[in-house]
Order: sequence, then structure tokens, then C-alpha cells
Amino acid sequence: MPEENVDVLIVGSGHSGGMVAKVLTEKGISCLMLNAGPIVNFQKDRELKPAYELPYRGFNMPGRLPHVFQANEFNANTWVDEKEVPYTFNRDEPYNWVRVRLFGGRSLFWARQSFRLSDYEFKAKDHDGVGDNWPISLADLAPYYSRVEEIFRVSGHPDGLPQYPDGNFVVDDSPWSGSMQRLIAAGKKLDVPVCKARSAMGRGGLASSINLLLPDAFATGELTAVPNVVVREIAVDKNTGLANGANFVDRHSRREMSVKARVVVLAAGCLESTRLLLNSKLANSSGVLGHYLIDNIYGPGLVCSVPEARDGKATPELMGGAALIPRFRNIDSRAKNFLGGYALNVWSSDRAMDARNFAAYGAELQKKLDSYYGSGFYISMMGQVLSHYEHQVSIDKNVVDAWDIPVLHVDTKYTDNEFNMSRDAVDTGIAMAEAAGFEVLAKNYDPNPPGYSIHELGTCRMGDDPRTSVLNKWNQSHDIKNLFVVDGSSFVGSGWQNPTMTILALSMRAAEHMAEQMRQRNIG
Amino acid sequence: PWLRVWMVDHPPTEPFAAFINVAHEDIRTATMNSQAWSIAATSAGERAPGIGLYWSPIDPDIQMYV
Repeated sequence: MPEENVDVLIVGSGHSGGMVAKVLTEKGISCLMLNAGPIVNFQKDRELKPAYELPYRGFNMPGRLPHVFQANEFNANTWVDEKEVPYTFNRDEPYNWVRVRLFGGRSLFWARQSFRLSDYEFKAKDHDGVGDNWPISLADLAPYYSRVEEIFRVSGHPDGLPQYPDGNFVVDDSPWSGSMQRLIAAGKKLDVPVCKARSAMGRGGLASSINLLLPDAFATGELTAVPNVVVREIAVDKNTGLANGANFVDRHSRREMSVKARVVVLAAGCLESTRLLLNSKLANSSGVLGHYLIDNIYGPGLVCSVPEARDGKATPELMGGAALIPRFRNIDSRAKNFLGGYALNVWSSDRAMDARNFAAYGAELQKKLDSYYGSGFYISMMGQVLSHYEHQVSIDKNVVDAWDIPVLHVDTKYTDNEFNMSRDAVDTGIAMAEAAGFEVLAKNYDPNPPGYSIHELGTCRMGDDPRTSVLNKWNQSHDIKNLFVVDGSSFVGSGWQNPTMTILALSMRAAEHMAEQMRQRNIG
Repeated sequence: PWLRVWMVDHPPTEPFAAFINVAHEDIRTATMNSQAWSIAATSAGERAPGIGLYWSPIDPDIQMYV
């Protein structure tokens, strides 16, 4: 078993691992990054193809990726296969764990919605009376958000809403289309704000760690990255109790290896980092490791049509564009049957509508599709999930992955709060659409299974009290001072927001603290 | 009678309706993904549907896939 020695070991190459690598190497600290999957070659690994050339003619292979609703035959090879890395869950409580192990992780494919959390989320207990406050506030994280937004080139418009904090934007002053103006007017009647969406533009069509973060780290000469190695466990010095490296296995050859490190950083994604700690039996004096699993509610929404755009009358002035309706419930008043809040994504399209929106066959269906072409208006929900101790992951000792590493058992479900919130979101969307004069064609109140949003969070939560949290406010283990967890597992609450900007800001902040602690020789 | 309006990932819950609606959707997709449809659409000056960015297996694990 060959052994290497490094300053900082980083497990994972996505947004959080990439950010830590960038910050540390730019301060002259050498890092080794281990990633469980291969490096992508965008020229060699993908090409434009018609569905009829594929084995299943554009349908997914039956039985493959049953819990990745985002999968299709074109992208099936980018997701982690459940047969290679299984996980288990209770029969009636499915969980959609959507994973990517390519170098760069899920940062290669994220939808790029870029939001800050507000103090309605950071201080949720103070505001809502349930859950827990984070040990930090927006003011603590705001400077880091600004720097992240600059790197990722976030487009947006300042709106001055406390629940939708403004940022360091590439300002979006584009005009609203006519259909969007009608929704804005409808929102004013119902006291619902309609704002510009916020999105990371990135560079060259990509807003990933592999193009925005890791090139800077490699340029320093301080970063070494190893693909195709699966970390089995974090190693600990029996005398000091400190982390001192990791044991890992080559994905192809099954050769076992290990590395020694002064500091260990887990950035493997919320559930993989948690699985690694559980399998290593570390960092859990609080007993909350693996608990409080949360994500975002996706799935509820509605499909509408703008009547004036039907029958070939759609114009660029009337149709097109996107908007974001930030949280508006439980701000100044109380919703009747749920806590927390949700946002609505809105977009207007001048393209064909889906046949599912019309209960008709053959010629009658085609007539409707022709008539409604270019008139689609869509509203979908992104909702907050409340934290519960009993919503958890644990190690399933009876099942192992392709490298004989015990897998996770996921035990979670949505509760009445999430279902009631979903109903309110759809009903509010319908009310706004009808007030705008749109025809509602289809609606769905049912959330997709937990996990679908690919925003799993919370299983290594941060806090000031080591008895009730895994990490301190610097993403540092309470138990093991030279162990950091920088992915979404540190979240105390989900909010409605896509978590990526917050993960990036937290990992930047954690890395700077880590570097300073290393400089002062408090760790490592 | 079993045809319904529904949103993606949420087909009707009644068994007959689920079958009819999913089958209807799959038949339409298979038809529009066919080479014949592609040729006809291109001949008519329309953009052929069903073209996408296909990802090849990326360095697949030898013990699982060989």
C-alpha cells in the first residue's frame, strides 16, 4: 500500500472542493484532491446524435436509473448507476439520490440559479419559531457571496427585498415581455412580487469548478488531482485523535492505497461526505451526524397558455423571458397551514407545447398543438423543507457498493408542512395566471420524491453547541479540529433557494479560516 | 375516457389512466424520434425532433460493465 504525504487532502472536486483548492493553493498551501470518477473530455465524450441511432431510440434502458427522473438515454452515462453504488430506503418512502462522480461533480450540470439565503433562513427559529438558527447571519456571509458572484458572473437585478437579498450582479436590465408584464400586474393585485431571475453566466457556457475554480488552483503548482479513486475511510492518529489522511481504492484496479495529510477536507457532496464519516465512525459525539436531512420541494406547478399568443400570433414582444417570485408567505403575516416559504420559477416560451397538456388523440390533438404553439407560460415551485431529527441517513450494513464499501440507508419523507405549502404554491400560481388572463391547462400539487431537487443538505449541520451539531461555524468538526466538511451537509435549514451560492460562499470562508489556522499552527 | 391532462413525472394515479396516458406519450415520442419522422421533417424544411447531445460511457468501471 503506497503512502504519500500532503498538507491538505480534499475529497471531491465539485464547487465546494474546487473553491477550497483555489483558496488554499493561492495561499501557497499544497493540496491533493481525490475524486471518485473520471475526467470528462467534452470533445471526445459527447456528440450530437439523433434518438433513432441510440439503442433505445431515446428512451432510457428499462430498469436503469429508476430514481434519476432527470435521466434520459442521451445523458444516462453521466449519472452514478445505482447498481454500482446502491443505496437503500424504506419501501413506501422512495428517495431520489441523483449523483455525478465525474471530475467536477454536479457542478458540470447544475441549473445555475444563484441566490443568497436571507436572514429569514439564517435566523429561521427567531422568525418562524421552529427549527434552529444558523450560527452565522447574512452579514457574516455577504462579503463571501459577493466574491463568489463575481467569479461566477451572476446576472440579476437588485430588488431591495430582504427575503431576496441583492448581490454583486451583472445587472439585468432587459425589458420584460408582454406576458411577463401581465403577470407582474397580477402579482401587484395579490401582493406577490415578481422579480428578475438570478443566474450564474459562468464562462464559455460552463459555470463549473473545472473552468472557474480549479484552473486557478492548478496554475499555482500546488494542486495535485487524482481521478478514479474511491475513498473508503478517513484515517485518525490514535494518539492525538486528529485526522491524518485517508484510505482509498483505485476504481478500476481495486488497488488499495492511503495518503497522510495534515488537514482533511470533505467536499464529496452532502450524503457522500456523511457516508464517509459514518463509515469512518468519526465526528459524531453529538449523535446528530446523518440526521436533519433536508432538500427543496420540486414538482408542483402549472402549465398555462397566453390566449393572445395562440394561432400563430406569438411575438418576441409578447412571449419569452423568465422571472422569479421570491418567498412572500410568512414574511409579515402567517400562512394558515404551513411554516417557511417557497418561490416560484416562471418562464414564457414561444416554442411548441407538450401533448400532455391536451386530453386528445390524433388529428384533434394535432389541431390543439398547432393552435397553442408558442403560447406556453409555466410556473413551478421551489419550496423549503423543514428539518426533522428523524429524517436521517445511516449505514446499511447489509449492502455494499462495487468496492465493498457499506452504503447509505435513507429514511425521510415529506410531511404535512411540505404538502400544504405545495398546495398553496399551485393555488397561488393559478390565481396569478387567471388574474393575468392566462388559460390554465395543467396543474400538479404532488411534490417529486425527496432528493429530486439534487439539493440534499443538513446531515453534518453546523452550530455553536458541540452537543447538538457536527460542525462549528467555520465548517470545522467540533470533535476533530483538522477535519472540515464544506459541502451542503453543513446547512441548518434549506430555505427555498438553490444552495450552490451558499455552498460556495461557506467553502470560501471555511478555507480562509483553515489557512489562517494552519498559519498559526493551531491545526495541521 | 381515460385520457387525462398531466404534468411530467406525474401521470394519472388510476391504473387504467396511467397506462393509457403513458402509452400514448411513449408512442408519440417513439414516432417523433423515428428516422422516418426525421426525414419527413427535414424534407418539409422543419427542424427534426429527437436530436440531442449524447454522452458516451466515460471510462466505465471494468468490473461492472465488461
